[in-house]
Amino acid sequence: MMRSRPGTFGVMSQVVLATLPGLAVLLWLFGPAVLLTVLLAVAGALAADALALWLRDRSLKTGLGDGSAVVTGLLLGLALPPFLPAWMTLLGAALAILLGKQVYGGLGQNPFNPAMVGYAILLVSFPLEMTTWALPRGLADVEPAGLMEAARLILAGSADVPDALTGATPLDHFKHRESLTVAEWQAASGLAGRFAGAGWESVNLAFLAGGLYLMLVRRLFSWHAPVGMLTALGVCAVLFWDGGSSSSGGSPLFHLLGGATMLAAFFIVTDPVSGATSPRGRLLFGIGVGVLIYMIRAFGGYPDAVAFAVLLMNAAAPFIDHFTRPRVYGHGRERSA
Amino acid sequence: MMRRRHQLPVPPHSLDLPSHKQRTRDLPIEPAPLFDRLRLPLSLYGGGQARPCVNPGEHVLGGEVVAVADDGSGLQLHAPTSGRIVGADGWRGSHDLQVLEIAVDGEDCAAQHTPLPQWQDLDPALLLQHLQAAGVVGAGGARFPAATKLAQAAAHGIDCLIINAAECEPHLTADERLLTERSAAVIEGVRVLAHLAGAGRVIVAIEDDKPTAIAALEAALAGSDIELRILPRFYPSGSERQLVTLLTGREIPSGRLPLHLGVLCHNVATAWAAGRAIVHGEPLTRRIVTVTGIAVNRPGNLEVRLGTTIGDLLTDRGLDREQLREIRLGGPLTGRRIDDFNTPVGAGSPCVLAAGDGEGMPTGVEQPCIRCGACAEVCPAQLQPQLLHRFARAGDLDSAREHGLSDCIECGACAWVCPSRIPLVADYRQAKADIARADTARAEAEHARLRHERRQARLAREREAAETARKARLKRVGAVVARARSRTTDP
Repeated sequence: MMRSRPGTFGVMSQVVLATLPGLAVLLWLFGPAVLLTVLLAVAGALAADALALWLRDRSLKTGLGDGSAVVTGLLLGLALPPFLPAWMTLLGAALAILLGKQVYGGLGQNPFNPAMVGYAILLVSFPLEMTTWALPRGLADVEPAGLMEAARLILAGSADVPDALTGATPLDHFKHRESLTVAEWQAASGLAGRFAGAGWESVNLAFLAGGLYLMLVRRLFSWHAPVGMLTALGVCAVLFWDGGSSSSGGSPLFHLLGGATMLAAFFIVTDPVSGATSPRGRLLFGIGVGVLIYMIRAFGGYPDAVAFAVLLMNAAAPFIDHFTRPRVYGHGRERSA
Repeated sequence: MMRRRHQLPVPPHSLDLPSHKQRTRDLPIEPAPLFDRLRLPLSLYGGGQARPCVNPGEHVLGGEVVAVADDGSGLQLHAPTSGRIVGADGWRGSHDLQVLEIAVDGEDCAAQHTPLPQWQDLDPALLLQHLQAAGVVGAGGARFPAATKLAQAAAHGIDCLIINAAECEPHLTADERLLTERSAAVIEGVRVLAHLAGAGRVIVAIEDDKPTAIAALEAALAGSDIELRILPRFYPSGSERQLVTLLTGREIPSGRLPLHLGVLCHNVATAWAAGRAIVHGEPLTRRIVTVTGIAVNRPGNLEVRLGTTIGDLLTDRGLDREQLREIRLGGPLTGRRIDDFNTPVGAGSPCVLAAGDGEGMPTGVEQPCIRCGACAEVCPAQLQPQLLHRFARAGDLDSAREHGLSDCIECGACAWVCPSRIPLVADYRQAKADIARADTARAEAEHARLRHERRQARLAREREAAETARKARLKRVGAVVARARSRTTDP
């Protein structure tokens, strides 16, 4: 039984609102650079969307008014390293909109998640900048750069960012821990945090809270895709955990609350446009993303894997839809005489 | 006292709509005034047409036959009051249908009725004929001839008659008032229908948000074997297929009728009309219509003569044009949007809604589908409306058909919840019409092919026959020649 009927703009506003807890924790951990990068990404997405709409002779008011470009920019901005040079952020956001959405005919037509398209392009083009994260507050006396300092660093480009402020992410660091057991790594590395990386645990919990708000309170999406993804990721992590030896893939909690897991589970795989359609299809879609995230994290060349996992499953979504069509009323249950 | 509590569950694929019924549910039925003219719709169920059997200028009495269905069913339309026939002019509606215009003389003289109070003793075939001649059609919206449906049921053999009093669509209170005020007359009609259908079991189904109507029904049914079933409130509980499934637990197979499960459904207002037609001999010339909406100053439940125009009706009840956003005939979800005040109220129109802000279908600029799936969540036919929408817009009729377009009951739930404000039902109607056209074209092409092949076969047969005849002739000639020759050579 369903009751509410918000418009597309209402849906998008709710999504933006639900990212705020995660954004706040990121801000606290990494300083104003996070906000600057997010704002740049949103601005880049809006500008590119406006350009494309103008070129396609479409109404700017309805095209921009639905809020989807803001959400794309926001999600991309949240996924980018805080000190990424401004021009890369703008480029990524613009390509997300242009190559991720508008070339297919705009909102609703894109087979791939636009934010993940932008992220993947940046990751393969600028691997060094994209894998260099800001260090979280409190780690080795790190004090995040202030607003002016952050702005200067972002505008100046990566070479100027002092080494004291940046480093690998916990996922990255864990992967290259050489022959340490999990326990040894946790003891040795300040990045290890309590169980899923310093700072990242709180980031993920904050995104989890926002996501649960959207799912349970606002009912914007069903549980199928997020639960499918998190369950699959957790199951994979359990299978390859092996008690924490030097070849362990990391604990289930490390994977569930590390990296971009919760952002992906509630804000990326729930994208209706590029995902599967039916409840069963969405469950399968989520499971696929979860398995791929684990496989790429554990055995692939990249530290985090959300973008590639989502894009691969986006490509599979039409097939999933084809094989998970729900039974229509009056079909199948009873033999027609 | 029967138990009020219902145990029937709300189906998962359903919609909880704002009811808006409180505006008119306590207003007693009042007769609509006699307006200067009536525009009696001549369109019938499924694109059929009634042919006028009166001439322009002719004077008719109320209840006199003015048009006859052209499909040979025997269905007749009657003048709702006395007056002069103006003519059947083209009706400037959205379809190229016709109306019969009557200049009302204000006397309201009625023709003689033939009541059949002893109907139980009469031959059902005769009663069906009587019902058809009285023009009784389904009042729920489809306007299918009641007698045809009953004859099918009797021929097929059914064990249960369901009287649909769910009235689940927002704003509608016509059936509720009918039951509250005239429950005895309604039950009289129900008995007639049950007799004609040969149904052993009769169920009257009504939503639980209509306590006064339920109380009236309980009083009218006291000591009777007709069952009263209270439905939970959801949309669309009054849809035939959903109602049958809710009451029997079985689904009607795709492309089949409730008859397939031994069930016949009739609307409660149809039952009332049938009772009037058989027991009192009154043809169908009026119905109860809820006139409501923010833009109506004096909303109410009116007993309206068929053919009364929306314009007359709304002007009489006070139309606030400042507030008016759209007019819908037949309910906010399943009704049609009306842009012409000359559009008449027909036998299948339970409501005239002069909707203000937030009352009709959600309005706004249509935006692209983002496949959010809200439509699939509420679709009572369990379709994937977002996919059907894509196929319909792309003209991919085969895929639309394969994904069950024909199973769409056009309830409008998908369009109601669509965050992109896509007029989904309009798309589906268009696609269905396109499919029907394509099927007709294919059937015609097939017919032409068969005709061609038969012609070729006939020509071949004729050629062969001619050849045989020629050979026979030659043989005969040869024989004659041989005989002649033998005669000459052998004297």
